Amino acid sequence: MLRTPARALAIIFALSGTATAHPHEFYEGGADFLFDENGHLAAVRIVWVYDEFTTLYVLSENGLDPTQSPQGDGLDRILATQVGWTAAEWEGDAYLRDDSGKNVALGDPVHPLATVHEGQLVVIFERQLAAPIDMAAGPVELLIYDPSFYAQYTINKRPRIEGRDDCTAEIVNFRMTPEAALKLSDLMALTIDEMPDDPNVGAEFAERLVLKCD
Amino acid sequence: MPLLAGVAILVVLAFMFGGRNALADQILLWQRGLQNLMAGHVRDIKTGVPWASWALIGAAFAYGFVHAAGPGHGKALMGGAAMGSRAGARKLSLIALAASLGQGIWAIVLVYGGLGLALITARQMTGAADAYLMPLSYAMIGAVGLYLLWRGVRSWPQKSAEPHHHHHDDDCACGHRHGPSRADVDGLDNWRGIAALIGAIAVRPCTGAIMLLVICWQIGLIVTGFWAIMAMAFGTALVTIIAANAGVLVRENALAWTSRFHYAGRVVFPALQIIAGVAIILAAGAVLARLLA
Repeated sequence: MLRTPARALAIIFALSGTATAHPHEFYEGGADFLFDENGHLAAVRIVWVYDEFTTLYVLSENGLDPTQSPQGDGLDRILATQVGWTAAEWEGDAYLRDDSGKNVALGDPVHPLATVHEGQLVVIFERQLAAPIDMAAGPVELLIYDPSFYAQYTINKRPRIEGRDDCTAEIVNFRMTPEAALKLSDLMALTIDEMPDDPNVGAEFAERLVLKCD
Repeated sequence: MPLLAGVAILVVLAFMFGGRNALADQILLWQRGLQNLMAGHVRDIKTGVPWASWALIGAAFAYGFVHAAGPGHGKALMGGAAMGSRAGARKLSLIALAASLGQGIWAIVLVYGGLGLALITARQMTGAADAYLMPLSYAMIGAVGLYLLWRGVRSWPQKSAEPHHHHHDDDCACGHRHGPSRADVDGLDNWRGIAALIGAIAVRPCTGAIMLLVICWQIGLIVTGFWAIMAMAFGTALVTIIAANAGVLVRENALAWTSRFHYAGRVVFPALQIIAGVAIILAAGAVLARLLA
């Protein structure tokens, strides 16, 4: 993602007298669940589909023609800026929780791909679980959200399950309530939205995938 | 008249406190749609679709309007200034227009100047702006609030002083001139007050404008980008002009209505100034404190 440049940009410039600064980037997509040979959940594959405006910004900032899919050097630059981070630097807006609600650490992005489809940048990569999960204990949950709510995610891609055929994954989209709308209104009015009062406010707008195995 | 004043007050309060409302997600949806529309038009320009530049300019205008109509406090400053001064609707509208256009031009100067003349990267430019512009902007807003507060406190009438004396200034259409003289309280009768107000709004370009300018610069649509941002500024101007006029409406109704009570008639204007000033100081101060922390 354009974390560093665009967010820096936003921090500085989000301050229009009329700015509605949070959220400012919109991502669709979702995630797939990958099992190892022992039938344990070993990795997740994250899919980000950038909104058209953010796509244009990322491509042009990297000096690329916004009407073409990035190739060669350009593709490398996109991958470097979007998935060149490590798990230690950034959690990647993905949070995996086991059946006891405990967080399971996800590794650095691997096997990244990027393409532009109908004006939208699509970035796909995998993240290994620090410790594979034996699904016998119960369902796990993957939450997709930006804690600061600078980026808003919508899961609209059906999750794929690879390596097992007795599991199901259900999309639980965030449902806007009157209370959440008021909170959103406050966030939009916050011009320093870089630092909302609640640093984890984005969790209130989280999109979720719930994975269950028989 | 009280009813009209009440309705107008509600409108201004809605503006001042950023339109905290359940429609936020709808506004966000429009904004997002317009952002994508602008992106599509930029791609169309690159592929030579006829009239795509005009389509981009039109979309930018709509984006400016919707963006400004959403929760945010630029309107608050204009509405507050309108309530806390005796400037006329026309003057305030011109100030609002100048502030919005100034905001657009400032965005262009920052991005094109930063990227072009200084030959620095977007990243470096924004880093520098981060350190200085944001605190500067809020300090300026706070200064406008302090100024209003100071004018209000200074013109607060003594209860014993000439309570029943009516001035009938020729330049006052309402005919009720209880309270301080025009020169005393007209917070926007000098260039400093006006410049502070314009500067406070103009110094903070909006993210969408900056992003669009960076895009246009990078792909060689420099002139189109200029006009798109100016169109966006006109869109935001429309909203701040509405806020300014709502503020004038509240002020005039409050003055006219309370002028029948002698003491109330004399304190209502300073009170409006103090309220507007304190509200603006609190809003700016909270942000500033967090920025500098």
